[in-house]
Amino acid sequence: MKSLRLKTHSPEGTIELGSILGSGLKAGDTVLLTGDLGAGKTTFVKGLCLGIGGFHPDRVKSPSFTVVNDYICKIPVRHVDLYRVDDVEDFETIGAFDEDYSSRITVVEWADKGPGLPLSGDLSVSIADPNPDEREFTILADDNLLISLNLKPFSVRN
Amino acid sequence: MKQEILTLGIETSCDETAASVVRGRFEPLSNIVASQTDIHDKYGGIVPELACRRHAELIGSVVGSAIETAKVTLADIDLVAVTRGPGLVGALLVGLSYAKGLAWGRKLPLVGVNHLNGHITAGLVSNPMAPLPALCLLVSGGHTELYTMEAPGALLKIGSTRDDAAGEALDKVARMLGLGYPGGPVIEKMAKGSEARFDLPVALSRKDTLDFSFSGPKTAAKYLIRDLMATGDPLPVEDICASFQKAVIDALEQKTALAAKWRKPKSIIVAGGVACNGPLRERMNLLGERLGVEVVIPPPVLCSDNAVMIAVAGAIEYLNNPEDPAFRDFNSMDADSGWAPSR
Repeated sequence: MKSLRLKTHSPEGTIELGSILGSGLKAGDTVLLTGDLGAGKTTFVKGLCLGIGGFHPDRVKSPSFTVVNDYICKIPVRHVDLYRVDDVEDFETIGAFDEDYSSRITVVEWADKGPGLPLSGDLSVSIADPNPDEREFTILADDNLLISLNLKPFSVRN
Repeated sequence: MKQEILTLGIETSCDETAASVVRGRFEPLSNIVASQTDIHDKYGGIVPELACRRHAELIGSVVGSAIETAKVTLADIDLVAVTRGPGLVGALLVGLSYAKGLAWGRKLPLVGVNHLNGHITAGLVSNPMAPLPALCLLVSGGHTELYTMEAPGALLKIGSTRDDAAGEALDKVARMLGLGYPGGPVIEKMAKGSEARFDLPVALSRKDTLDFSFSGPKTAAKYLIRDLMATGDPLPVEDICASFQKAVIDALEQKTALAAKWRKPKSIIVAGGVACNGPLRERMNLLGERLGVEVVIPPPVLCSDNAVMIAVAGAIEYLNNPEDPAFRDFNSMDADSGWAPSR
């Protein structure tokens, strides 16, 4: 695993960063997202889906209340939100990781909240929002993912 | 067939376990909702945990109580209607399996109902004569969407949130302010008599889309709270609530007005949990008066999740064509967690 720190300065920049990382994901990957209310987790997922391809980012919505949203991207995406899930039994009921999980990409918001299960991600992203016009991304990624993307900190402009 | 059929409705798509008995198409005889509020209270009422595993524990007694309250017996039921989606698959399966077992055992027809169509159909419960086509604003914790309805159940989606649902944004701002759950009712209570003196943006206010966005206003509220806290003065919680509630209602009204202008509906139905909000109801009624269009908003008990809306939507579909073999051949009927009600 390698870690990387990046900043964006607008929702569009966050979507661009997400799409770069999304373009390197493959079926079976798990993405874990953490960050406060309003940090931009769902915006980042819009970018991931744009990068994976075949799905309009406007159709990516917050799953805080619905808990699980499925998107038919080029690789199917299961967008999970643990904002309301505190309990292991509930976690099992929502079907975040069912028998088909290896055929899709699973993205988990509020991955640090949840019922305290040891979730492991191929990509972990934590977002801080020191002020309205700045988002700090701490990215922990599988080595192969970063190599395949040839990702450099300056590749995101906005 | 009897003159007026009795339908048993079952709803377990998300947080509530609900059952009801409805006579004919529109007459509710019972409406039982096992609220999860007590479970939420256990955690201080702040964190809105799910409790979907509770459906299995509750469903038997909730159905029994719906039948008893309606003063009928199981043998009187002619039709079973159950929510088949959208929702959490594990939660949906509890209701669906129960409904299938019941229908199979008693040799009854079964209708799988779309939860969102159910919410909109609640408008027809409060006014079966609502003139169609209707413009439907569905606004809840998980959904904020605009539909047109040509006939009961025939929905076309014309607008949707691009990020947070309105109810979700209200809930999250309530949480930022350290208020209880669910956030919508708390914000409404705090906002009462307070001044909406802080300007929060209405997102996507341009005139070329019927889509909503509540993520921007939510984040703006967060920075407003952060800035006000930094002054060291006591936080004007009531005024923040009034300001945010106004921003949400402004957006809902604006897009509903624009959709009405484009689609020229004969009525406007407002449905879903957030339609319990008093100021929203007031504003939508005023909008209807201004446009000369009848506005239908179900009473609050039919706005939040319930099984009357499921029974009614199921009865309407069944009575359209009672001979349809699909109502008898339900073995392969499956839950559909992402089922869109739109054509």
